[in-house]
Amino acid sequence: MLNRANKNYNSDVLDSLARELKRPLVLMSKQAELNQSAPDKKHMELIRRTAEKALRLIDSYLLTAQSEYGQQLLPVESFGIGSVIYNVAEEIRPMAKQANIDVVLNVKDALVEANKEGVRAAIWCLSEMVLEHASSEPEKTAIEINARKSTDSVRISVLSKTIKVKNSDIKKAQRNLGGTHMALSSASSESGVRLAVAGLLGESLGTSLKAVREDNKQGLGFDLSLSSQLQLGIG
Amino acid sequence: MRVLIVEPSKDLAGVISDSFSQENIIADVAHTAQAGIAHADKNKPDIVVLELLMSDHNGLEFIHEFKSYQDWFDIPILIYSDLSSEELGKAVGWREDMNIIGHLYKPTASLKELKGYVKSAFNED
Repeated sequence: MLNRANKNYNSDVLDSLARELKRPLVLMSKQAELNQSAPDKKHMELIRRTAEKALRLIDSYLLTAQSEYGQQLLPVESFGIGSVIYNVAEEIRPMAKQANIDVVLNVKDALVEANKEGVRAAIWCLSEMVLEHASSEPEKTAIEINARKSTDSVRISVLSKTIKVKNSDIKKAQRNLGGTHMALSSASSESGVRLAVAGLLGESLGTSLKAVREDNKQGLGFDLSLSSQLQLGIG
Repeated sequence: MRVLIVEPSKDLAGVISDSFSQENIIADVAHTAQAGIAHADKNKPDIVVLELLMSDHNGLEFIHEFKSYQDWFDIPILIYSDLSSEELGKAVGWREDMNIIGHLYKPTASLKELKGYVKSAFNED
């Protein structure tokens, strides 16, 4: 039988899912309507991309629920941080190009043990935030994704010359990290809903989340431990 | 006619804007409340289409700030939101006071309905 806490949790999950899923579905319905009146390949591509976002969102909620009830453990594996950053950069480049922004990598590769998708989502989330900041600049600019290895950790940061990081940005990033649900769904990143498992991601990475300043660049970053496992899951 | 669309989703704002352009209606797009005010300052709109759910300021704050400028007080605002009428409440009074001409629930109101509503506000059917 469900106790009150579980009922509240279930209700929160359903409420969040409904609200977040509404966005891509609304977008798809309007994109389809526009395509009906003015058929265009570009519209169909947008519909496809939005549908993928909606599917990732559903998957992430499913994973959240399964993890919460102990039906699934989020895998922890060894991986090179460099390849993850490279993949994220490839994914955000088209978006950055539209905003006249270059994506530069400055990566010292390191082997970490963590939930790969969670870390990938976190880097994606920070990159998206810094991009959003930088895109308000009228002139061409760049964002830089860094990985710097120290004795027992690797610092991952996303920086730009043209942004200034405020306390509210840190709070927003922590909220967004809590809302990534281990998935690369930008559809979910705006709301910052905090669910139990997503909260673990927020706690694990969010607590070390900080404003990073290097030379004349500013941005957001977090430290990932090399020695201890970053267990993002229940169990 | 010039419409100012205040919509946080860039993709959706683009779709709405393209849809207005098909009708030869000039559409300016802003993704935040502050950008909306700045846009209106640059190009005075004939009507504002507003999403209430925004990350920086909420839409109600936008309405209050927008209506605090005397020059813009008579510019009608149409709420096109993910918030349903039930969620928005029945505060009809403030809507009339603020020249809010209507509320369309985004998930069920089509682009056609939106354009029809905007045009009817100016008797351009």
